[in-house]
Amino acid sequence: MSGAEFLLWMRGPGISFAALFFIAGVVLRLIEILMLGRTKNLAELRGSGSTAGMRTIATRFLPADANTFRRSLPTIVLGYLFHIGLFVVIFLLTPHIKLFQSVFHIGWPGLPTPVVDFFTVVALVSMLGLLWRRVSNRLLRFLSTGEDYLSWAVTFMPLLTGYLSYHHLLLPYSWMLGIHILSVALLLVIFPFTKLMHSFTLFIARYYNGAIAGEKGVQQ
Amino acid sequence: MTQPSLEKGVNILREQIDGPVAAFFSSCVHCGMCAEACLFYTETGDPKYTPIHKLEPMRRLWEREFTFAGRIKKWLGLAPPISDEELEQWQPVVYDSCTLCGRCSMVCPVGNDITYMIRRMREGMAASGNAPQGLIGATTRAVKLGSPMGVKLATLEAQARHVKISTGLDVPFDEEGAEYMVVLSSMEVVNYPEYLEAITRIFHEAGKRWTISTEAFEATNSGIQIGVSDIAAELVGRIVAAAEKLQVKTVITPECGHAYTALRWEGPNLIGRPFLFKVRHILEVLDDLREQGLLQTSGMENDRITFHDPCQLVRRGGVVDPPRNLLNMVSNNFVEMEDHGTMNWCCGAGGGVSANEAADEIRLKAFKRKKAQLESLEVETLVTACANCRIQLEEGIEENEMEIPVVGITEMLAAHLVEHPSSDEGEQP
Amino acid sequence: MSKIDSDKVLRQALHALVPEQQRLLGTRLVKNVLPLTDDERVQRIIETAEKADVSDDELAEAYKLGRMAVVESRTRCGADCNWEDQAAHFVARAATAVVAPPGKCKAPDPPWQAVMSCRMARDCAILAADDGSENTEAEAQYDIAENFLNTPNSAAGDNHE
Repeated sequence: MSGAEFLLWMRGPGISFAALFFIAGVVLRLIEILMLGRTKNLAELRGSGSTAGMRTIATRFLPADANTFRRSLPTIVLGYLFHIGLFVVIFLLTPHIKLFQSVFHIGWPGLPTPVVDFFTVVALVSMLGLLWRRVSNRLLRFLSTGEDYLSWAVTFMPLLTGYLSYHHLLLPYSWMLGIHILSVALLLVIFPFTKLMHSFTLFIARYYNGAIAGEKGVQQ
Repeated sequence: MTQPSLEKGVNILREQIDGPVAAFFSSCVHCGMCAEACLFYTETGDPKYTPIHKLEPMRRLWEREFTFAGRIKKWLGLAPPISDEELEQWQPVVYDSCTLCGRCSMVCPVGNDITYMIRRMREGMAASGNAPQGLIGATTRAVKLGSPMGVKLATLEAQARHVKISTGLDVPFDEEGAEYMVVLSSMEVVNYPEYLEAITRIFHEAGKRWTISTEAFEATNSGIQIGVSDIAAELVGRIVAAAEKLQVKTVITPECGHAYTALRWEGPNLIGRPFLFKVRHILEVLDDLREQGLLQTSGMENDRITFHDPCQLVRRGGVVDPPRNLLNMVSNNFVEMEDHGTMNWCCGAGGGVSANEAADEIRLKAFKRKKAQLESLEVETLVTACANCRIQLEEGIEENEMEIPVVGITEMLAAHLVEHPSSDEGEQP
Repeated sequence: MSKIDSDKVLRQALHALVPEQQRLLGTRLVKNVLPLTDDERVQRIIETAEKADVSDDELAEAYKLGRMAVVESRTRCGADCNWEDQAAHFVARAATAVVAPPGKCKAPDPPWQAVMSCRMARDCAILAADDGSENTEAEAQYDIAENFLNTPNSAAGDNHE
């Protein structure tokens, strides 16, 4: 197989299958959660749960207070650098936007590629920092499972291979790009089985948390 | 409590898994922030006290039975079922080192209400026979005798007699149609009898008709602490029956944290229907009286004071402002701890921990968080609104040779109460 | 000759005394319930408090001892209340209130705290005995106070307020 053939296949059947599998997996996971539901609260409520729930989806993006930020500073800073970098790379890189456009028929302006490149490096470095913390910090080492490391790897590889492709490093371009798309396909296929689902379920979790607290009149 | 067994425990644990629980387990990314917010972790440095980790058996059950991948893993023999040994191993972290304080639920970045889950996990633990001895004893006494400490009506009546001698006022029992029905915690009756006298005087001054039911005067709910909803429902049911029989408008829970949560927030859900009366914490009632001008005080405390927020009342109960409003009536030297209100640090003894002898050592270790808060603030008096917090604070202060007296708000207000001679009665409803 | 027959009068009388006299009267009240405890720390506190020429340091030491006794003797939350132990706890409370340096004991009214704690101690003893007898501690306290105020060496009638 030549590089071109590999790339063509990855861009076609490869990624399509992965994407469909991803969608099916995510939908299934969400159904598994939402079908369980929550029993109605019969207590004399102080406030609307749904309003507080929606608000918490937004407020939980920030740490609870300054002291919480101080206590968990490395986690929060590295976590945000990574997520912001990842968001910029996935959604604000022109080739990616063109891909979304071809599938969903909506597009939006992207950032200049050198800028996205910078954010890729931010994401990569912060991921390395997060991995380093996971293995060296006593608390995180205790909590971490194989799944944590697997999730890290399948998220790291697309970033790395995308960076290598853009800079024409390591392998001939077709192969490198093909491997990049393969790594994305791998991410998509593994995603629904792991904690990466938090990307979707955190909205539900935050909502429930906020609603439960809001009914008692407490808002974070 | 009927005969516990692993099977029963797992069945009950399975029933506890609802939408929120599934969403929470799905979202956890093992970031460790919940540990950094938990005083049992911060004061020991031991990762096994990580809040989400306390739920591991429940998580495994959820994974193997409520997720597609988990069910495949189970089918392939890669997801072992929960064992007796596992639950036994988890008992100390679920009961000794968690007060259900809720701080973890406030900081989790993906929004997990871990406390909600630990409350549910305890249902499975108790049903499988893995609850602490101290709690089992307290719960059994609560069901059989009406009080976890064996406090009987006679005890309460004796206190009422003291109040009469001391103030000339009657403590009204079983008055139908009273506006308020007061329930008390055994702890208060046994250790802080000042509370009963304080509310008697305050209600008399405010002209409010109130009563205590001889059939249900116990506010605490061991069922909530140990995690047996049937018992929790039974205990709530007694209060509900008495309140509805006497046709009172509001039931007042005392200076206790979990009694409020148990009755107001869990109560109707435990018995399966809304109440025909309101539930208010004594501080809410006093704050209302203050607003209506029916609570008049004179004089100010000069000491530098701060308030320890009982977790179940403030963060988990929603009664945040009333203690502050009330304290500002009698103090112009009231300073807040840095982490206060809904972000306060737990005293270390709630959620059944103080009734659990096995937890004595870690409970006192956890107090060091509060010690650090107090030392940095340099206060002369510590005020709180929960008898259990109070005992823990006093013990911790004593153990650490700090010289800070601890006082309850109601008692403090009563000390400054403006009282009119009993010849002019004030408004009567 | 002052007669004490109600709490109102007792409270007034107590408040009219100087701290030293309050302490001495308090000591007598506690001695009436001292048999209800076998914690010898409480015994030592009362012995200290009784001394006419006791120093502030000695009182501070006694207060410290008392606080320890109070905290250790309390029934833990949710535990089966042993009424005899609880009686001892209240005696410790009373004794501690008696030797509290001014402004330290956060009961709004330390001498009154001592009075009430003695009555609670008697209550607990009655509950322990479970014989339904009546608590006559208040009346006993009125008598003790009366005797104290009406004997010549107790500076009775000196209103220093």
